[in-house]
Amino acid sequence: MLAKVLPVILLFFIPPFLGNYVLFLSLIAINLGILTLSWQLMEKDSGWISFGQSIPFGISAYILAINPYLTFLAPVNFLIFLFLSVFGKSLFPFATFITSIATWQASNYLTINGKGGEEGFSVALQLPSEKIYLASATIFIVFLILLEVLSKSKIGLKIKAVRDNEIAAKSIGLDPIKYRMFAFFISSVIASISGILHAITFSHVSPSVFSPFYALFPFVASTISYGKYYTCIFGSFLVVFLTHALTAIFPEAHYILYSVVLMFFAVMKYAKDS
Amino acid sequence: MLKIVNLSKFYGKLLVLRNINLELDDGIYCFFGPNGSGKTTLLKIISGFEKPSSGRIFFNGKDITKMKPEKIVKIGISIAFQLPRVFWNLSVEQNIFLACMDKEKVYSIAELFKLKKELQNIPRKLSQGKLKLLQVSMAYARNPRLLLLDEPFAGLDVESVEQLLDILRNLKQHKSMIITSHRPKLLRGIAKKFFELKGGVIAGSKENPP
Amino acid sequence: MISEFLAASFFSVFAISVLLCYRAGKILNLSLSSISTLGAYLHFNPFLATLLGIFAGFLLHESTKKLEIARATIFSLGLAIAIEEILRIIFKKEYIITHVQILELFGENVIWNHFIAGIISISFLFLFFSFLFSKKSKTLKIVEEDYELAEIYGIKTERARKIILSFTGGLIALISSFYNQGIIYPTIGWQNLIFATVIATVANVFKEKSYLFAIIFAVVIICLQKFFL
Repeated sequence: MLAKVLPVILLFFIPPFLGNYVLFLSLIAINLGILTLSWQLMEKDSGWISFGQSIPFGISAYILAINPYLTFLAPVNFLIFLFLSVFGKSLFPFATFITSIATWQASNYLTINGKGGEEGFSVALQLPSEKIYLASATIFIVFLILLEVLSKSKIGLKIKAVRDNEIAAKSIGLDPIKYRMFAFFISSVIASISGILHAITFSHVSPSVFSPFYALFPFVASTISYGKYYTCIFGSFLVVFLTHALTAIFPEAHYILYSVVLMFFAVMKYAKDS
Repeated sequence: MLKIVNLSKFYGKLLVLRNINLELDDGIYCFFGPNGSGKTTLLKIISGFEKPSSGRIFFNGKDITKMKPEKIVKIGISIAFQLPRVFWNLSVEQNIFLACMDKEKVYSIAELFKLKKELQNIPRKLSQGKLKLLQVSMAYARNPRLLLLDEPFAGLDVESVEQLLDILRNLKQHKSMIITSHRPKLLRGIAKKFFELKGGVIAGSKENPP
Repeated sequence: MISEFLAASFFSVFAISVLLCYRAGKILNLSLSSISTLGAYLHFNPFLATLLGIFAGFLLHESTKKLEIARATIFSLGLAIAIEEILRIIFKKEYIITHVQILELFGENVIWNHFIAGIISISFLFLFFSFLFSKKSKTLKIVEEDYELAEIYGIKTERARKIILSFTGGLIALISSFYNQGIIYPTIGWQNLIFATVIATVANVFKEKSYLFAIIFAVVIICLQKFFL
C-alpha cells in the first residue's frame, strides 16, 4: 500500500513550490483525479463503464451553489445510475452519456430568482487556493486508500463477483442489485465530493460541469494511466496540463485528445483481448 | 424436505411442465428423460431462477415459490448449472471462497473436489471437467440441505465422470441431491429413486435406473 | 401542420437510421450526431455533405467490424468528437446563420429547405417500407437476429453492415444539410440524436414493428411538442 501511496504524496508536494498557476492547475487535476477514482470504482470493480460521472459531479456543485445546507443530499443522485443500469452493461455508457448531455442542455434553463441559466451560480464559500489544495490532496489520498482496501476486502470481492457473473452471484446467495447499488452509491459520493471541491475552487458553477469534457475526463485519464487506482492521478495531471498547454496553441484541444483516446481504447482493447 | 404441488410452466404457448406433484425426503434422486422434457426447467424453478406458471413449492414446510434465488440459497438449496456459471476473472480459490466465505474451508473443499492444484488459476484456464468440478464445489460450499445438479456429466470425458461419481459417492451420506441426467445408469447405487420426465410430466418412478 | 409533418418525417428517418445501425449494424452509432452537424455546416453543398457522411459511415464500419457493441459504441463516440473538432478547425465559427426562404403551402409558411428535407425523408420512408414488405427483407431480419446464422445462410453480413453504416451516414448528412437552417451551432447534431434515440428506444420495444412505431412516435412527439410549446 505504501508503495502505491508514496509516489502520489510526493507528486502532491511539488506544485506548491512551482508558483500559483501550477498550483491552480494541480488543484484542478486533483479534483478531477477524485472524479476519476469514482469512475474507476464503477468500471474496474463493478464493471459498468459510465460516461456520466459529470452528473453527480455537476449536481453536487449546483446544490452547493444554490443551497449549501442541502449538500448532504447530493449522493442520492446514485439513483440515476441505478435507473440507467436497466439498459444493461452494453448500453450503459451510451445511456449515461446521453443523460449527461441532456442534463447539460437542461441546466441552461435552471434559474432561481433571476440567477443561473447559462451563466450559472456563484458559490458563497470561498477559500484560498492553498487550503483547498491541501483539502483536495488529503481527500484524494484518503479515497485512494479506502478504495484499495475496499477492492481487497470481502465486499470488494463480492462486487467483483457480481461484475463477472450475476447469475453465478445469485446462485451463491449474493443479491446483484444490492452490490450494484453499493458500488454506485460509493462512486456517487466520491464524484459528489469532487464536484463540491471543483465548485469551491472556481467559486462558481455553470452548465459546463455537465459537458462532455467532465463526462469523458475520467475515462480518458484512466485509460492513459493503465486503469489502476493509484496511477489515475498521473493520468489526470497529464490530461489537465496537456489540455492547458495545448489550449494556448489551439483552443479546446482536449477534445482531440479525447477522440483519439476513445478510438484507440476501443480498438486496442480488442487487440489485447484477442 | 421438498414438496411440489400442481406445478406447471408455460413459455408462451409452449407447455414445458404439467401438473408436477412430488414429495421428496432426504436422499439422492435422479430425473432423466429426453431433451425438452423439462428437467432443467424443474431445477431452475426449484432454485428460484424461473417462476412457475402455477403451483407451489415447499421446502422444509416453507413456501419458496415466489422467493428470489439468492434467498433460496440462504435457506438451503444450491444449484450447479449445466453451463458453467462461475466468476471468470477471479481465481478458483476466490470462487470457492465467495461461496463459503471461510478461508480454511476453501482448502478442504478444494481437496474434496480435486481442485487443490488449480486454486491460483482462473476458470478460463480450466478443462471442461475441472470447470464442472468447480461449479459443483461452489454449490456444495454453500453447505446446502439440498443440492441441485443439472446434467453434471454432460460434456465430460470418462476420467472426469469417474472423478465426479467418486465425489458424489462421498457426499451421498450427508447431502440430499436432485440430479438430472441423460445417463441415469451412471447413478446406479448412488440415487435412491429415478424419475422419468416425458413431455413435461412424471411418466414413472423406479428404484433402479432403466 | 405541414411543418410538424416535415419535422416528424426528418426525425423518423433519424430514428430509423439509429435503429438500423443498432439492430443490423450492432452498434449504437453516436457519430450520427456529428454527421448531422456536418450536414448542417455543409448546407451550401449537400452533395459534398452526403459524400462525407458516406465516408464517415464507411470509416466507422471498417474500424469497428470486429468489435462488440460496447467497444464499437465507444469508438463511434470518439469519431463523433473527432468530426466535430475537424468542423471547428475548418469553420472556426461557433455559430452560422443561414438565409431561409419561405414557401407558402396550403396557406401555411414553410421553410423551403425543410420542404426539400421532408421530400427526401418521405421518399426514403416509402422506399424503405417497400423493401420491408418485399421478400428481400428476410435478409435484414436474419442479419438483425444473428450474424453467425446469417453467414450460414450465405448472407454477407460484413457487406450488409458496410452498406447500412455508409448509407445511414450519407442519408443523415444529406437531410441535415437541408433541415438544419436558421442558426447552426456545434451541438445541433447532438440534440437531433438525443431526440431520435428516445424515439428509437421506445420503438425498439416493439421488435419486428419497431420501424413502423418509430414513425408513429415521431409524429406523436412532434404533435405533443407543438401542443405544449
